[in-house]
Amino acid sequence: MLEEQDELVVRLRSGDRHAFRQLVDALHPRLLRFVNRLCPPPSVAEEVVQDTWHVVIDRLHTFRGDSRLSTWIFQIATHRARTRAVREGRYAATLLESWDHADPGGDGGLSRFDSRGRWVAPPAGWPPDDPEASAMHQQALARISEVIDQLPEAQRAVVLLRDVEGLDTREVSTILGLSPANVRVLLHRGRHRVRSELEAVWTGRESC
Amino acid sequence: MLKCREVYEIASDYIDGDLGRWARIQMRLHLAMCRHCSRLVRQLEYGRRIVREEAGSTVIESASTARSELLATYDARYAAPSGSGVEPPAHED
Ligand SMILES: [Zn+2]
Repeated sequence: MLEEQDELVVRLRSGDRHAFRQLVDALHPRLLRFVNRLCPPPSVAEEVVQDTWHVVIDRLHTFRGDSRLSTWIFQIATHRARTRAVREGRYAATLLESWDHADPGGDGGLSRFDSRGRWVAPPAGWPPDDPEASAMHQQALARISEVIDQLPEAQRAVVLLRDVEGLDTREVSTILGLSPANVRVLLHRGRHRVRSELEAVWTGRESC
Repeated sequence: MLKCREVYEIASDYIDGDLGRWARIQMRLHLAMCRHCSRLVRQLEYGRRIVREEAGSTVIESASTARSELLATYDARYAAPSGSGVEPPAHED
């Protein structure tokens, strides 16, 4: 697979526009939907992604193949998205330095257990065996987009890269400049938060 | 035997298959006996699926000119003759 990638990079550097077009077609929609969740609205996200491709074209010769090409491109896109979000006043500039500070608090997990590590408020009795067949699933689907958008920025980025784009922990750690351990912690927090919001939908209760 | 609180901490790694062999065995033992934690794991798995279903099906329309503009930029940088690189050929056809 790496040899395949080397060959692709050689073709891209030698002006093979067919190879470039294939790369754009494969990655552009994914970059756009990812960036749009970090830095909406779509018009801004599109500018960021367009910008990303220009950087890719410009810096192809600096790509050293330490990561996959797609990882490298996602990394550039993420950086541009964050820079743009800061410029738009969406995040404080200091957050750009580290994703760690962009993740307030934990998941409130400890308060769910007594001193002996047993559940105080155990998970409610959902989902049923085939949740996707239930009418509640449609309600959950209608709500989930908002839940994703309300995740703290770093959790949101990790959840999207791991669970939507299907990248592995190491790739995500390269893209976000975080240790793999941190990526796993953020994923844990993000998923538990999603779970707790879904519980509210499935049980008709307020989330906690 | 793992405590439920410990299961909570490693459940996300568990559904990714990211636990070591020993932790995975301990986890399975606990899940076989604990209804609460089994639910937790199924809820996390469902959450992962629904996030993928929703966010993964999002299609954001791109301006129709975006792609051709990128190809033109790429050509100008890599495919054009060396030098200024933007001169069109003198004759077409
Ligand atoms: Zn348990």
